[in-house]
Order: sequence, then structure tokens, then C-alpha cells
Amino acid sequence: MKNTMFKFAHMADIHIGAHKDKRLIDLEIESFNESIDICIKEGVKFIIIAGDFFHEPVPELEQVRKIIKKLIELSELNIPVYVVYGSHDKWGSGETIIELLEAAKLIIKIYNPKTVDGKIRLEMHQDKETGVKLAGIPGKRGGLEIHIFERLDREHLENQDGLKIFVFHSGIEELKPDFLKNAMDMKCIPINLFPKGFDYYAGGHIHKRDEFNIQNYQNIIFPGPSFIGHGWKDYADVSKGEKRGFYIVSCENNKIIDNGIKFIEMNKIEGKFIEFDDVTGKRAKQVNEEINKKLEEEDVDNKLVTIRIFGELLSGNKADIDTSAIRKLLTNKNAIAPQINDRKVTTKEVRKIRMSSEDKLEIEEELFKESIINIKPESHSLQNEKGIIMAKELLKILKKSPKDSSGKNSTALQNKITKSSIEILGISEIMEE
Amino acid sequence: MIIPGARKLINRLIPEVLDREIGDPHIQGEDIEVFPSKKENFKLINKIESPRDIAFVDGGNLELIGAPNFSIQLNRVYKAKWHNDRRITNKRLEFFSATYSTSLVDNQIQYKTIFELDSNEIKLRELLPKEEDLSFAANDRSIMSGNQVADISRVSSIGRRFAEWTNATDLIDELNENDILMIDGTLQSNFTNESTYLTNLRRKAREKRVILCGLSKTSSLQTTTGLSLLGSINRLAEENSIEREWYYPFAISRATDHDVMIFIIKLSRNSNRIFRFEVDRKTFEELNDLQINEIFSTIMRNSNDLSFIGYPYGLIDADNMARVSYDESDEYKGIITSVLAKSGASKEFLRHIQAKDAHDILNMILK
Amino acid sequence: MNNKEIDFVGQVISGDVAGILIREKNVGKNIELGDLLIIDEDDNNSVLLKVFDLSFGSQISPSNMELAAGLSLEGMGDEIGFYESNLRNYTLANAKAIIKITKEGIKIPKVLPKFFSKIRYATKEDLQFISKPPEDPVYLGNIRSGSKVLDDVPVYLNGTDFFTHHVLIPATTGRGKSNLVKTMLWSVLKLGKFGVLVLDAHDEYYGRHELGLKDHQNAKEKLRYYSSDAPVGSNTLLINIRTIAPEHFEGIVNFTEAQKQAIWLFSNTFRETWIERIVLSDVGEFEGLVQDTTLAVLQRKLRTSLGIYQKDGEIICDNPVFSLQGGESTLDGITGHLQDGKIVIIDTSKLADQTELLIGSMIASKVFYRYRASKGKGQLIDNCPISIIIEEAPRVLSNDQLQEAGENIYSTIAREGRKFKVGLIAITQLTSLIPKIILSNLNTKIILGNEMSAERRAIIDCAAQDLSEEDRTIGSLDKGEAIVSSVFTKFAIPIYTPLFEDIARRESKKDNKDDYELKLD
Repeated sequence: MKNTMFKFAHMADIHIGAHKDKRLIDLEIESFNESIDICIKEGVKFIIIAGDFFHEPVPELEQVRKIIKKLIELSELNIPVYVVYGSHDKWGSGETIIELLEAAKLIIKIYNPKTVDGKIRLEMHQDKETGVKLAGIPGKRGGLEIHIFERLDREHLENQDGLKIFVFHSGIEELKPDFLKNAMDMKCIPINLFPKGFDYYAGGHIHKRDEFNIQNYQNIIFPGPSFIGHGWKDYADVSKGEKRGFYIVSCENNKIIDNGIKFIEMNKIEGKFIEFDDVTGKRAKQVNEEINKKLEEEDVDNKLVTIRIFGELLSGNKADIDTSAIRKLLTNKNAIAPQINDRKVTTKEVRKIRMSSEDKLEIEEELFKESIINIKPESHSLQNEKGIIMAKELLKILKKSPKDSSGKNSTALQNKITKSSIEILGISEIMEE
Repeated sequence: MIIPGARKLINRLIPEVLDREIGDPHIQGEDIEVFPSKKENFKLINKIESPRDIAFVDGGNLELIGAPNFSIQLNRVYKAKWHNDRRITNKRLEFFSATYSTSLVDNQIQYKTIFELDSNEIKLRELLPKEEDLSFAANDRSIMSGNQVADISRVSSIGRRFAEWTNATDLIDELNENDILMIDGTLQSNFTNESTYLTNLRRKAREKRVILCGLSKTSSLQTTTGLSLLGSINRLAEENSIEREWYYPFAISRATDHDVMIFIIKLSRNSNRIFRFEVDRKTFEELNDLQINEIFSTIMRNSNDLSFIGYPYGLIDADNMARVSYDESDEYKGIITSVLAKSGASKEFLRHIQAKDAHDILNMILK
Repeated sequence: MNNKEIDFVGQVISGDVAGILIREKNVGKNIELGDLLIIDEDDNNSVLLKVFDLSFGSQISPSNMELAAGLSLEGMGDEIGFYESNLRNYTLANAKAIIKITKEGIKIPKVLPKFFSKIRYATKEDLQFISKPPEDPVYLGNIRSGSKVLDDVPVYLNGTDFFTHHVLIPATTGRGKSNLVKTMLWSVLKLGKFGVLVLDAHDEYYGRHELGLKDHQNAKEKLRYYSSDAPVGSNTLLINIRTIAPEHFEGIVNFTEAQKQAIWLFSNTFRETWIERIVLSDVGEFEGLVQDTTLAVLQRKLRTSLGIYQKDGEIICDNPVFSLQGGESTLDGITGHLQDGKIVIIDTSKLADQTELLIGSMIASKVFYRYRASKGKGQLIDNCPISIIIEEAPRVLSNDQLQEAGENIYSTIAREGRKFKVGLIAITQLTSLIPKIILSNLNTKIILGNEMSAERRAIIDCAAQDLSEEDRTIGSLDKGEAIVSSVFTKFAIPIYTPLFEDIARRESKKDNKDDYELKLD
């Protein structure tokens, strides 16, 4: 073991490719590049990305190209990038950009399992320069990585000497943040399934920065997204001023030094969060007027804007609130990717489906959950939780357009959609027959 | 205040009881031979195994409704067969009897008795005595109490007595040779026409070689010195340290209607109780000593129940099963009364009943 | 079947509505306390009786019997005895007619059975009306007649009725209370429709080192285990101090009026950091608002109940359960599990009494108020009924405790929970300490053996059926035997709960593999 001082960086949930707005796309790459620059400047010896590097297994190539450029820079400086999959950058069994990058030796996947005596043994990867040992478990859709944790050979990991880092992309049951307290479907891992006694637990998946030290588990760190993240809540958090960034950790003599865990803020974008909570007892027309009037006065130039509207309208329909006009107004005022949430606007007639969540994906999940109890398929993979996961994955694939950039139907893209669908349904063999 | 008086009385009585010689048995009657009291008369009973069964017959009755001119009674006769301490068979016959007085015949009131059963079965009816055998003139000495005309309820109870004989006779069919048939009381007829029944019984028993006997719970026999016979023999046994079970013959009667050997017996060394016992003479005289011992041993083996040590349990059982209790009588009284009421004759009957029930009413008031 | 073929055990000889006297057939029969007997009135009607008393009957006078005994003891009178002892000495059973079974169904009997009726033991065919499982059946045991168990007559209660109408389990130590609760929870796991919170003071339900609920086939899906010392795979019990609200202490920790007011002041001012603020406060810091002595006592009480105090300006948490790090969503998580129809076991075996009650109070409050809000929104119908098992219930439900410390969430649930599908299962050795008004709300009583007559009296007084004659029976209940007295049963049903280990061994999952095909990539 080399007794030198060194630093490493820990980031997660970068979600390259999560945004549609051009400005956000650009800012996202900028943010990533800047964070790498900071790492280089700080002299980190390696970088950990704890999952969801990309928002999809195969993101837009233009964005990938820009990322590769930066990774090449790191590679040339001999700064390895250690990665585990998250729940977004790999699902199903198709190819992923991560595999490509690994093949190109631009990143190193540190999840190396093998089965020994019925248990899953993770081979630790040792960083050449620092001697730090790393092991990791990827995140999976629906928290299915819990099955890996349950079969993990913890003793093997705990018996390793030297400075050890455990990388993961999961929520921890006992350390779930407050905003997830009602997310019963979010599978988290009980803390005692983690190997004890590691020097650092590099977490991802939870889009809130947090640090924990509890008995047997020191330095459990969730950096949160390094840019915005994705989805309504992340937009709202950033709009409210919540800081995004990553960690740089200083080590010496085989240990993390006291106060050596530093959060590096990346404030690439300013935000504005505007709430309209006084629609109760008003008609939609009046609400539209009031919102427009208020927004006229707001300075939203180049800002990430999220609007929340809630209350019970006196009459009319939620659809009568002209969110398009609001969006257009904000866009005209140069707001970046305005997000409008009116889910909690109700009228007396509308009390059909209760939605406790404001995120589109979570809404989908709740809808599936409410519907699946009425379906009684024979196949286990279509039942309950597994059924919901499969449905979500299918929906994601089927949402993709088979049209190419010219707007024409592409056979290749269609085939790709079909193939992915068959894989998700697990009927490849049947189809071959 | 009464204690000194009691003390003085007892002090005067003691010499009359304690200070006398035992004397010899004193029995009045023709054809009776009495044996002098002596210790040699005691015969010890040796307990032996025996294949003999022993049967018991007893009866009970209770007046349900009575008037000076009629008495309605419920009667029971019970018979059971035992082997040692095990009951083998038992049967109980229950019947109503009514005795009523008729108009004068030869200037005498006549009493007639009728019987009725629930069942119409002829076999059962044959177990009842003949009604004509239970007709008595009111001045029949066998039913009178001293010089008083017999109480009609007492006359009515004679029917039960006769029924015991008929049932005992019937029971012999279930017994084998050398089995024992024991009656509660003596084998002596007391009432007019009774001897016929007893004679039938005796004859049938002799024909089948069944040992017919009777055991009396009480005895008022005395000795020539005025002491009670049973008490004296008990004292004789004690004075001679005879502690085991024994039998003591003290008389033979050869009268036509009372042809028996008479004993005093002690059936358990754990009890001081002794009883008068008599057995049919003819049958008895044909037995040898071993057989005699066997008979007494058989009876002895039925006499070890703790409820009354030294008294045959079969007789306790028969008494219990034949008895008609006052509690039961109310129910039957109710039945009779309701039948009377339905017949429309209760008013007439009541007229006569009231001549006699003042005591009952007084009793109710004084309760 | 004619009389000769039926195995009669006795005959009615007297009695009245309160008790029918039966003479037992001597040879080979032994009527027991609690035996269920049948009088067949005709082919379509029979009466079910239950024996509540036994006595000797005899044709022999007491003095003779004493003599006999003396002779026997002193070794005298070898040949002397009682002839036909079986006939003259016998057992008299006093029984009560509890149900009339007819073709149309079962009814409460209103007339005496026929005099001199012959009596036989009840069979499973007679008791079919009990063994038919209701909807969502919760298994309690098998029907018991005396000490005989009718293995093929299981006793169930409808789960919703059972849990939402509260349960009392009065039992002294060693009567099989844990076995009963485990067996009951095992059947609840099969249903997966009822949330049950178990505050496990002896860590005996999960089965860390022995067979337990963890071995159920549905355990992975429907069982959650929280412990400060959790085995691998189960949840570490960690509760963030900022999730503790003042009302959680109500009825658990005694505060004076001044202390209560101080608490509310801190809570309103500092919101979720109220506890930290109290602990970190210095003398004189809130002069004029809170007396120093009040503050000092509060700090002491918080240290006692939560293990939290300050040292050099830093908050220290001694208690492994409470922390400032993590555990923010534990209470919501547990509540969510319960709402989802899971059994949640909280291992409180390593915790102090007060801590256990406090944790229970926190969860119970969350459950109760969430469900109350659901009802307000018209959503209660979709919620799984939830029940909370509390051992040594007088700690929170006794007269003294309620008067001294005031109402608490448990007493609130006992009184109002039924309206909101939240129930209580109160386990206690001392029923007499619980106020009658609460006892009357506990609509099912599963009565195990109790040798204390005062306690039996208290149980009998609050039972759903007239158990006035069952005093002796309750006193003689052996381990595993119980009487179920419920507003949902026609009569008080005697049961025997089989050994949990036998059930678990028979029905547990065969191996630890789940059916998830793990891909290692």
C-alpha cells in the first residue's frame, strides 16, 4: 500500500441526455466538463461515477461524443474513471454506451461478480496508483439489485485490507430522505446488507446530497445529481436554490483524513420557483389572468423556471388553466425549459385517481400499480412488481419513434424497437421457434 | 332439669339388663324345638369359593290416597340375582292396588283389593296375586290390630306381601340347583290365604333344590331370662371369644306353614350386627356340613359392603329398589288425582278422603 | 344410529337453565371440565353443552365413605368395600346448554333439553358450523373438548372483525401466549391483507435463531423486521429525532403542565428541531419564557427516554435507535408497510420499557392519524385494517396510568380505532387494572389459563358471553388451551393452539432461494 496523500472524486446521477432543451443540453455538458476540470485541477487520482452517468443506455451520439472527448483527456492524464451502472444507463440486455466506453478503455466498470458457494463474490479492483480497493454493485430498475446484496459474500469484502471504497447506486432503507418516505414502491437496501467497515461508501441514485456516519458504516455519501437531475422534483429543487455538485475526498496514510470530504458546488444554472397556491374558490379564467400578470413581473431570463399551481377551482376544469400560454410567456421571457405542475389543481368533480407523486415516471408507476391488481396472469414475470417493471420498460421502448431524422419510418429503428420489446418480454426463444 | 331424672331411670334399668343370665331362647308356637344356649352351638363360617348364585326379593308400598273406605297404593316388588358382589340380573314390578270396603256381609265390613298394571302383558299380570285371595272380613284376626278393626291401608299393603311370594316363586325359574333365594323377613305366613303362596314357593324351591331362606333385620325374640335373644347370643359369643363369622342354630319349627331351621348369624367379623336367619328345613336337612358352610359362606361374601357391614348387600339393594319414597308418592298422587278429576268422580271421592286427612292439613299448618 | 351404537358418556338427571346435571357413565368415560357434549333431540336438532363443573355423586353416605377410606388407609378390612362401586359412586357433571344446532342453523337454546336424555361427546360433524372458514380467516387453534383436541375442527375468526374490533389476550406466564400469537400471525401472513405491528419485547416472533415468522413462505413479501441489532437482510431500527413530535410522549412520559407548555413552545418555535433545541439550551437562555428548572427537568427526561444529551455543545445519542443521521423515513416506512398489509416486528428486547412504548406510540400515532385522515377523504375503504400488538398492556391502559399520565394513543385507539380500521391487541396478566370502558371495547377475548381468581373475575365480567360458570375452567386451562369469547362467535369456544414449531416446520418455505433469476451482469 502506497502511503501517499491523494484525492479522489465522487459524483453520481449525471444523467447525460436527460434534457430536451438545447440550453440545458449544452449546460449539462458544460457542467460535466467543468467538474472534470476541477478534478484535474485538484489533482484527483481517480474519479468514481456511482451510476446513471447517462440518462439512457444509448443516448444521443452528439452528447456522447462530447463526453468521450473529456474522458479521453482523463485517460491521457491516467486518471481512471470507475463506474457502476445506474437504473437508467442500463436496463434489459441490450447494448449500452457504458460498455462501449469500457471497451474503449475510457472507463472501468468495477462490478466484477462471480458465484462462489452460492454467494456472490465481488472481486475488488485495486487502483494502480493509490492502491485503493474498490468494489461496487450496480443499480437496477425497481431496486432489483437487492437480490445481489442478499447473496453478497460480505465476509470476503470485509476481510480485505487497505483503504476500501464501496460504490453503489441504491437507496438505503434506514437512510431514506424525507421526500421518499411515502414512496413505498422504491425498493431500498437495508444497511446491514452492505459490507461493514469500508472507508467510504460512494452512493448514487438518491437525488439529494447527504452524508451519514452510523455504527459500522462511516462516510456514506450521496452527492446528488451533479447538474440538475431529471424530473419535476429535481427541476423544482434546483429552482428553489438547492445546490448541485460532487465530492472530492482527501486521503492520507491509508485513511480518509478528518474533514477531508468536501462538497464541490456546481452552480451552472440559476432557478426560479414560483407557486400559485391561492386558486381555491376561483374560476380558471381568473387564475389564468392572475398567473400571467404575476409572471409578467418576474425576471426569468436564462433561469430554470418551475411553476406549481394548486388548489380547488370553483368551477370548470383543470384543463382550462392555460399552461401552454404560461409556457409560451415564460419562453418568450427567455426562461429555460419552464416546468408547470398543476397536478394538485382539482375541481369538485374530479376526484378519481389520487396521485401522491408529481413525477411523470412515478405517476406511470402508480397507474400501473392501480391497474395490475385487476390482472391475474399465469406467468410470474407479469405479476405484481415484476409486471410493473416490465410494463414500464415496454412503454419506454414503445414510446421511441421509429421515424428517422428525416421523419420517415426507419426499418432499422423499427426492428430495434421490436427486438428490444421481445427481450423485455423474455420470449426470444419462442420467437426464434 | 331432665338429666337427673334420666340418670335415675337408667340406674334402675341397668341391673335389669346387665345382671341377668343369658337364658335359653324363648319362642312360642306349636311344633317348635328350641336348643339351649351354649357355646358349642356356634359354628364358624369358613370362606370358600362357590359357584352358587344368590337371589333376593323384597317389596315396598306407599299409600297414595286414602279414605276410611278405600286406599290406593303404589306397590313395588324387586328381585335380583347376584354372584358374590356382582349383580347379574334384576327386575322390578310396579303396580297399583286399591282396597275398598263393601257393604256389610254377615254383619261385617268386607275388604276387597284390586290390582292394575300399566302393561297388559299376561306374563306380568301372572306375577300379581289373585284379587280374590285378598278379600278379608274386617274382623279377620290376621289383619286386626289387637281388638281394633284393621285399618284399610294396612289391608291394602298385604297385597304387596303376597306379590313378593309370587315373584319369588317366579324367580326360581332363573335359578339353578343349590342356588340360594333369600327373602327379607321370615318364611312364615301371617295372613289368611297367604300360606297358599308360601306353600307354592316352598314346593317349587324344594323341587328345584333351591335353598329358600329369610333374613330378618330385626327380632323381638327373647330368652327365658327376659333378655333379647340376639343380644344374649352376641354376649355369649363375646364371652367365648368367638370373633369370626358364625352361624348359631337355636330352633327348629315343624309347623305346616313355617317349616324352617332358625339361626342367628353373624356375617362379618368387622361388625357387631347379628340377624335372625331361617332356611327351609327339608332342604336344609339334606345338606352336609360342607354344603351348609358353603351356603353361609356365599351369604357372607355378599355381606361386606361398607354401607352396612355384615348385612347382605342384595337385601340393601332390593330394599332400595323396592322402596317407594314420599318424594315419589307426590308424583303418583298427582297422577291418580288427575285421572280422578278427568273421570268426574273426584268430588265424590273427596267427600270420603276428608274424613281422614285432617292430620295432613294440621301438619301443613304447623310446618 | 340407534342407542346401542352411539357411545354415550352420561345422562341428564336434573338441573336448570343455569346448569344441567349429568351423571357420567362410569366405565371408561371421564368427562372433563370444558368438555363439549351433545344431546340429540331428534335427527335434525341437537343441543351442544359445555361442562363447567364436576363433582362426586354417591348413593353412600359421607360417613360410610369416610369409614371406607379409613379402613383402606389403615390397611384393615381387606374384603370390605363397596359393592357395585361404579353404580353407587359416580361423577356428576354440571353443564350449560350453549347452542342449539338445527338444520337451519344455530340458535341460543331457550328450553331445557329433555329430561333423562343421553349424552355423547361432540364430534367434528356436530361442530361443522365452527370449522367453516369465514372470509379472510385468522386461525386461532382447533376446537377443544376438555383436554381432547379435535384436530380437524379449526377455529377461525374473520380477520377484519377480529382486528378492527380489538382483542384482549389475558394470560399469566407460561400459558402459551407467545405460541398463540405466533400461530395467529402465521395465518395472517398467509392472507397478506392485514397490517400488524408487533412490539416484540422478547424478540421471540421473528425467529433469529429458531423457527419463526421469517420461515413463512410469504415472509419475504409480507414480513418486515426492525431491530437495533438487525440480522442481515432485515431493517436496522433507526429513527431520526426530528421525526419525534410532542404528542408521541402523551401518556408515555409524565410531564407536568409547565413542562408540557415548554415543550409546545419549543415545538412551535423550532419545529422539528425542538428536541435538539431543548437539549442544547443553556441555563437562562429562555428566561421569562421557560423556567430553568423546567428546562433542566426536560433535558433530564429526554436523556432518560431518548438517550439524547449534549456534550461540549454537540448532541450525543446514546440510544442506538434514535439518531440525527438517517431514519427520517422510518416511521413512514413502517406505516406504509402496515398499510400494505405487512406484519412489522419491532424488536424492542434491547430497549428500555419507556423507549419501547415511545416507539410504539410514534408508529401508532402515525397509523391512527393517517387512517383518520383517509376516512375524512373517503378513502378508508381501500385501506388494510391495521392492528397493534402491545404486551403488558396495563403499562399504557391501566386506570392508574391513564389518570396519572393522561390518555395516550393506545387508549385512543382502544376507544376510537374501530371507526378507522385501526385495532389493538392487548396482552396482559392483569386484566383487572384496565378500566371497564376499555375492556368493553376489546370485543374478542382469547382467554388463557389464569390462576388468580381476581383476574379471572375481571375477565369473566367483561366477556362477550356469560362465563360466570367458567371460573374453574379458566383456572384449569393448561398450556396452549384457551377460550375464545367474542361478539363474533355464538358461544365461548374452547380451543387448543398447536405448537407453532410444528406448523412452521410443516409449512415453512423449503429453501432460502427465491424465485428471482439473478443475472450477474
